[in-house]
Amino acid sequence: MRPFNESYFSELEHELGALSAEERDSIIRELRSHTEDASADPAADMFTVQVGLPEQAAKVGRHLRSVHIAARREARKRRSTLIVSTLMAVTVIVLSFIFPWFDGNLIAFILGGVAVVFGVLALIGVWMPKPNIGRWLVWSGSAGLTLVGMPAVISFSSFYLICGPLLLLTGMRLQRV
Amino acid sequence: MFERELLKGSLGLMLMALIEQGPMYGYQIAKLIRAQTNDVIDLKEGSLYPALHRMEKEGMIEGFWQRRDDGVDRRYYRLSAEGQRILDERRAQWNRFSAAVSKVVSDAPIQ
Repeated sequence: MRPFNESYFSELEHELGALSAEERDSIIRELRSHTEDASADPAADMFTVQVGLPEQAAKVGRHLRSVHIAARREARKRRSTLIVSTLMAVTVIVLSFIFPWFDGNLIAFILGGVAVVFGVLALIGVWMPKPNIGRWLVWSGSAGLTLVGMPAVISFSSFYLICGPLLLLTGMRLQRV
Repeated sequence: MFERELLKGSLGLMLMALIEQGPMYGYQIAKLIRAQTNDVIDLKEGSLYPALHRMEKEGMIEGFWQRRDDGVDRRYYRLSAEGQRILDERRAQWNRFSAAVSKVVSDAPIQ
C-alpha cells in the first residue's frame, strides 16, 4: 500500500491547476471510473479506493474554479481601472494644453506645460509593462499633477479655477491606481 | 522512489509504448506499468490522467468514452498516426540514449 501523504494530493492539485475547467471535469470523471475499476479489482491497491481521489479532485476543482472566478474579477477590475486612469490622464493632457490659451499669461502656459508633462508621465506609467517603473511613473505624474493643481485655491484665473481642481482630483485619483 | 523529473521525462514514451498494443484505459495502464516494472514504477493517478490529456491535446493519442457491461463509462486511449510516428522516433532516441548513459553510469569504477 502506498504511504498516505500530503504530496499525493498536492501533485494532483498542481496538475489540475494547469488545465481548463472542461479538462478538469473530464479527469474527475476518469478518476471516478478509475476508482470503480479499483474497487472491482481484488488485487487492487486499497489505497486507491480508500483515498477518494474523485472527491479530492472535485474539491480541488471547486477550489480552482473559485480562484479563477476571483482572478477574472480582479482582471476586470484592473481593466476598468486602466481605462478610467487613461481617460483621466488624456483629459488632463488635452485641457492643460487648451486652457492656457484662454488665459494667455505666461504662468498659465508654464503650469499647463508642466501639467502636460506630468500627465504624459502618469499615462506612460499606467500602461508600463514593468509594474515597478510603472508605479513610480504614475506616482511621480500624479504627485506633479496634484502640486500643479494646488494653486487653484488661491487664484481666480480660468486655468486655475477649472483646470486646477481637475489636476488635483486626477492626481489624487491616479495615486490610488 | 524515483525523482519526479526522471519519471516525467520518460512518462510519455512509456504511455505511448503501452497504448501502441491497443486501446487502453487509465486504470489498465497504471496496472500494466506497475506489473511490467515489478512495482518499481507506481504511477500516481494525479500524474497519469493529466499526462494522457496533455498527449491527447498534442495529437499523440486519441481518447474516447465507451460504456462497460455494468453501465459505467470508461475512457479508452489509442495511438494516433502522428503518435505512432513520434513513438518510433522517441523509442530509437531512447534506446540510443539509455545505452549511452548505461555505458557511463555503471557500478564499476571508470578506469
